[in-house]
Amino acid sequence: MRVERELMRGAGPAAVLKLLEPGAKYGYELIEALADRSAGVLAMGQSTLYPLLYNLEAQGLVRAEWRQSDAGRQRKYYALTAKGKRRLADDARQWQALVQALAGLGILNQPSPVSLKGAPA
Amino acid sequence: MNFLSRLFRSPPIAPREPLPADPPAPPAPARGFWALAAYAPLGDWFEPGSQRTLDVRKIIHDARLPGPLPGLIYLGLRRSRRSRRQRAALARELIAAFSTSLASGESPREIAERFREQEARGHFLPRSKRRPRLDLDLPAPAAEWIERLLARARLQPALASQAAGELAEHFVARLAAGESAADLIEQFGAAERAARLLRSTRLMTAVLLPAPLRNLLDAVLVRARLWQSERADIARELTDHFDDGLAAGRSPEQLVVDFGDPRQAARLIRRAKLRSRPLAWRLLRHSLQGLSAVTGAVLLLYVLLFVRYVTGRPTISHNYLADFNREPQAVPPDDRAWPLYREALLMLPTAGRPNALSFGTSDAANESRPSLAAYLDEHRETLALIRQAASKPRFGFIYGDPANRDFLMKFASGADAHGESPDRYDRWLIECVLPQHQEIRFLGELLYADARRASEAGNGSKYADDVLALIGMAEHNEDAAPFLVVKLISSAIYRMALHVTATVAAERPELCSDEQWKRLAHAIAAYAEGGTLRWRLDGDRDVLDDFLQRTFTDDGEGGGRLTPEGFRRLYRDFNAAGPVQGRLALAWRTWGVELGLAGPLMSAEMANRKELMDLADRLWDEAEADYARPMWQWQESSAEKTMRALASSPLERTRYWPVLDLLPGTASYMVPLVAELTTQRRDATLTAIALELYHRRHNAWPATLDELAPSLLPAVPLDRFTGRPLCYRIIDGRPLVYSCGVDGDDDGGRPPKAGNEVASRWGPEAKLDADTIASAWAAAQDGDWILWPSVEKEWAE
Repeated sequence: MRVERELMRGAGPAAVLKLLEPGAKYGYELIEALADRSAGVLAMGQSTLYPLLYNLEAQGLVRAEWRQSDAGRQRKYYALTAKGKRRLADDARQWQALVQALAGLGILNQPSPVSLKGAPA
Repeated sequence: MNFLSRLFRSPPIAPREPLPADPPAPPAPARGFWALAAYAPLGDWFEPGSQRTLDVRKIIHDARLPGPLPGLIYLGLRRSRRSRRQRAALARELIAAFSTSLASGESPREIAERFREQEARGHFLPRSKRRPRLDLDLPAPAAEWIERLLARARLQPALASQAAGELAEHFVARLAAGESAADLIEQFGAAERAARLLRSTRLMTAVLLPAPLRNLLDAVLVRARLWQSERADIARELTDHFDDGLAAGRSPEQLVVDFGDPRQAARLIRRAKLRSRPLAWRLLRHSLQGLSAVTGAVLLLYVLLFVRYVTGRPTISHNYLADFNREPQAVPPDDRAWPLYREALLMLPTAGRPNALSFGTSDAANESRPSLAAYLDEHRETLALIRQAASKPRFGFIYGDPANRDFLMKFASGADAHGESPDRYDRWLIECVLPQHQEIRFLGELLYADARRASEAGNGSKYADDVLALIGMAEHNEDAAPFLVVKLISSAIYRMALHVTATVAAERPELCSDEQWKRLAHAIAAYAEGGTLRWRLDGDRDVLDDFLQRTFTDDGEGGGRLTPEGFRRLYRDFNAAGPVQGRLALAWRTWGVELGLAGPLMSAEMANRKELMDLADRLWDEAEADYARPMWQWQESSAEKTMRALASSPLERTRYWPVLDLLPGTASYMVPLVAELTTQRRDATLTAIALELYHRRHNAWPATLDELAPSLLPAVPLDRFTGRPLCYRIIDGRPLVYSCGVDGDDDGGRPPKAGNEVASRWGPEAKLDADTIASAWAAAQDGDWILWPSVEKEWAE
């Protein structure tokens, strides 16, 4: 299943930041990981991923570095910065709240552990 | 294998087709404005007489080298692939070198041969444009593909060598693996596109990608429009990505599909990369974007103004000359003076005119007097005709009257100032030359000289006739047209009559009988309806109104904007410098006026027709009201204050340009000042006649001027500077009439140290601080202005 572009615009950066949390990755690895770990839902082509990475780099959320890979080739690796880690934590909290809110509304099947602001208890 | 050592062989530059041995001479240098604009450095544009230092045709032409050298230099420069500035510098170097060789005895042919050989080897190409000659040990299709690629890539020689080496090694390896050269070329696709990618990224691995991926990468990079380092970085990253995909067993076509939309990728990549650029660059970019937006908006506005400007057409709805003609046409022909004046003027030769006013000097030994006397005798009949004309009740000049053709051809330099009939005569009022008035002034001078001569001969009757004719002539001009210039001519002729009357009253009072003096006094007093002289300049108002109707559009409610014809006429008929003054005046004239670029801006900035006319009418009315008072009550006119304030602002000066150029001459205090000083002279002359008549009756001079009124004068005339009665003293048994002058002090009839002539040019005290000329006279304010008897020839200024 493919996600609508507007949803992807919000989820894509958080997904990439999350994938970089364990350690630095290069573009091809990220694309493969996105496709595998999201069962293809968050798969994106290079035309989306690389601009997204450049944007994150421009915002100081990731740091790019050319270095030799395990296979012996030079690759451009992206790693989370401290600012990127804070953003990832913020994004995670917001997504969590969003998911719970959607569940509270019955859009998601998961029961809501918290009540929505302004909703009846 | 040392592949690179085999790659390049001497010569290092690929030879080209040599230039022809006998080339044609270069074209002649271009002339005119566009040549100046194209071949003069920007800094020279505002310098007069620019040398057009970038024009190689001019440089070659000015060197005057023998053939075939000029043609060879010209063709060689055209093939040099250098900038205009570099070509001009190279042309000068070649000319200097050729001149040295010629001076050492070398023939032009020998020099030409050497030049052709060097030129064919690319010696005059910029170093970056010299192509290495490749000698690749590859099958012809592969070698040619690499050559085409490198030729299009236009790399630095070292980088080109490296690229050629890598490509050749790759090709050799693929050929060794069993691929055919034709298959290889087909896989690599068009060399031109690969060359663009290589030039753009300097990355050989990108060039070695399969054609679909390479083209995709090229498309993304071309659309992204990034810096070379950014392109190289992205190319390297995406190339690695594609290599990973290929290594994972995906086909190039599959990778192209996986990549997504290259247009979107280029757009997003560009946006992201621009955000990563240095802050200073982003600030500069935003500034330039803002500047571009403003420039674009300004250009758009200019285009709109230009269209509005060039589509403006005037509507001429009123023939002012027809108005002027209406009154003289109603005068019966026998009552018109002009036909007789015209006849007299046509009888007189234009060459060899005497200085008739020299008769007014007290120097009896004046050398010109005999010739002037002979001239007067020779033209006795003409003088009688002039007197006859002066006795007519009206002037009667009709614009466009075909009868004036000979006169205007003779005195207006053949100007198109005559018409086929007055009814169809319609010209710009500002163009209407006024030779009829200017020439009559000369007739007045002849009458003046004749009166002086008659007085010396003791012929009182002829003297009185001449003076009366002078006054009649002044009345004709006063009556003829309400233009400032005509009024000033009338005033000048009137002052001739006053002077000759006052002089004879002082020097030969016995010349005239009581009746003759009274007759002269009445004629003098009646000029311009008597009283304090003032002139209404309705004609000058009409000049502006007529000018505006011919140079502005008409919106039907009195308004309208400046038209192209109006802009040209403004520049021609008004202040030649225009509203722009100082260092920008030359640029204004060159770009603004001659190219007409300022026209749309002027049309937008300048007040509309109604505003201009309303302002002019208001200023004229204010000036007339302010200066209707006698001179001793004058303060600075509000009209003059307004004009000074408007003229001090560049924008306002542009906005009201025609009004501010026309009005200072007609709405300033200078016009009523001339009238005041003429009034003063008239009153003094009438006082002189009254004194003479009093002396005849009482055989003594009166103790005060009060004794002259009311029997000989209606009232004692006033000093125009003080408002008090004219000053009067008897010194050494002779009467003296004078004004206290600008300082208002009675100095006992003592003229200023600089002479009475200075006193005759005094202005009102209220103006002295405002008028720079008057301030120069401030030191000469002390003293009185002697009015009668006149002590110097100060009246004929």
